[in-house]
Amino acid sequence: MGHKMKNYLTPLLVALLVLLSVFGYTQTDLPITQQAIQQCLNKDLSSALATVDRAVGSPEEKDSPRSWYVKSFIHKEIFKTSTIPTIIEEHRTKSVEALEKCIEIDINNTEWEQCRVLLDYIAAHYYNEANSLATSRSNQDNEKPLALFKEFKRLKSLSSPGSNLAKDEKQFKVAMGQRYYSLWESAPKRDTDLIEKSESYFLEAMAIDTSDCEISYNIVVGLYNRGVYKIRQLGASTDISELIMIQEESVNLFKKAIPYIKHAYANCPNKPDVVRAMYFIHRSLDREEAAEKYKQELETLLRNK
Amino acid sequence: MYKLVLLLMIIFVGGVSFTPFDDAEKIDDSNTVIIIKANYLYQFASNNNWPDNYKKGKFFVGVLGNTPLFDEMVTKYGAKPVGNQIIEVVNLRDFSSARFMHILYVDKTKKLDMPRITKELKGESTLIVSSFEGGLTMGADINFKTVDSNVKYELNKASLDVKKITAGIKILQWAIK
Repeated sequence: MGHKMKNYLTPLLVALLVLLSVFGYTQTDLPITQQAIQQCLNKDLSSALATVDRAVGSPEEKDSPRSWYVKSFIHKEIFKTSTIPTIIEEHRTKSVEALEKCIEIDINNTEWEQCRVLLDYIAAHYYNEANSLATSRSNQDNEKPLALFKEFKRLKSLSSPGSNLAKDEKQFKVAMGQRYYSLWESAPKRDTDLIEKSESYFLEAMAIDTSDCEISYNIVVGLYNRGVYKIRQLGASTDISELIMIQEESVNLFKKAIPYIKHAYANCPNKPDVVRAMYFIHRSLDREEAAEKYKQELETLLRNK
Repeated sequence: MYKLVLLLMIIFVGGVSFTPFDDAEKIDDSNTVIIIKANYLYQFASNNNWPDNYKKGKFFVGVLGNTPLFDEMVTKYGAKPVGNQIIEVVNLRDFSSARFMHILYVDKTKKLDMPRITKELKGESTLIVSSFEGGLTMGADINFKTVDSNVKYELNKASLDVKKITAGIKILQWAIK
């Protein structure tokens, strides 16, 4: 039903847009800017950009917030339709710069409402890219998602000062935690600093939302799998003293996971992943009765799924 | 008026969608206690010394009543050398003394078989490893014991001496006192 509604809305919105744009042109004191808007509406973005650059360079229109807003808008249209990262980055930056200029000279706040909407759009674009890069295996740059997220927060602080970004902050930290976990999992030597970074991001996310069982579950997986990985390295070349030491290190990690799995279980007792983790941790700590209890619980959950 | 146009354009063409996150990470399903016990069995095989007449042919490790432990032993230590011998791991559903084992692991599910096992193996140089409370008193030479969630072992040196199996210094050193 919702899907059909969207299809009806599309031609209506297009018609409305055309009508409003034609009507809007008849009244203007900014002819160059107006020409740029027309070119933009005609999807001739390169001409629109050249025209608006002429507008913001002209003595008559350079001090108009509207001209700077239109410039920002055109840059936004260019990066929005592009798939080339360098183009996106260049035009997104220019869009923000023009928008900031618009806000700076817009003493009477005549453009503020559109500026705020555009700021939110660009902020969301930064946010999406930050999260996408954070979870992308092909992205090698660990700092890039952080920089993008920082810009998202800066733009949100301009568009909605004092707004609560806790939910976004939490999701981004989870994405970074997952990133470092994946890096650890694929690193040939399973470097400890990677898994510790993952854990620290998850802990930061958990501090934001203490009731989220998926975050505490992710912390459990990091600690538990790190311990299991150590034990899996045992082999014919392992000395008995190493075996004793590795086992102790792993058991300490399993024990460290207990408060987090208890937290996850308290909040999501019906999630099979959580019950499975509960079962595995107790099994690894050789607590047979408890392990059996959670094993049964897991089987019941999966049966009733 | 143009403001409305541009505003509508943003709303209309710029629908913002937030990227969904990947699924939660997956927990490793390896049974760590099994991995550790298997490694211990290998340590017992390679760090103890059997009489010369048992140093020919294959080095047999029998696993009674624990298929996951047998699987782990075969995967990781099957065909590994112990001195001049090669390890062969045997999965035993029921005990039989017909075939000699250098090491026989007796799972707790086979605890009730212990009296028969010790009786039938009397005089043989088979190292019996158990994994249940009271294993040593029931005749095992080594018994796995969990101490503060760590798998450790206790050892009966006197029974090993009777079987002419010389416990290695490291095996003696790490046994629970």
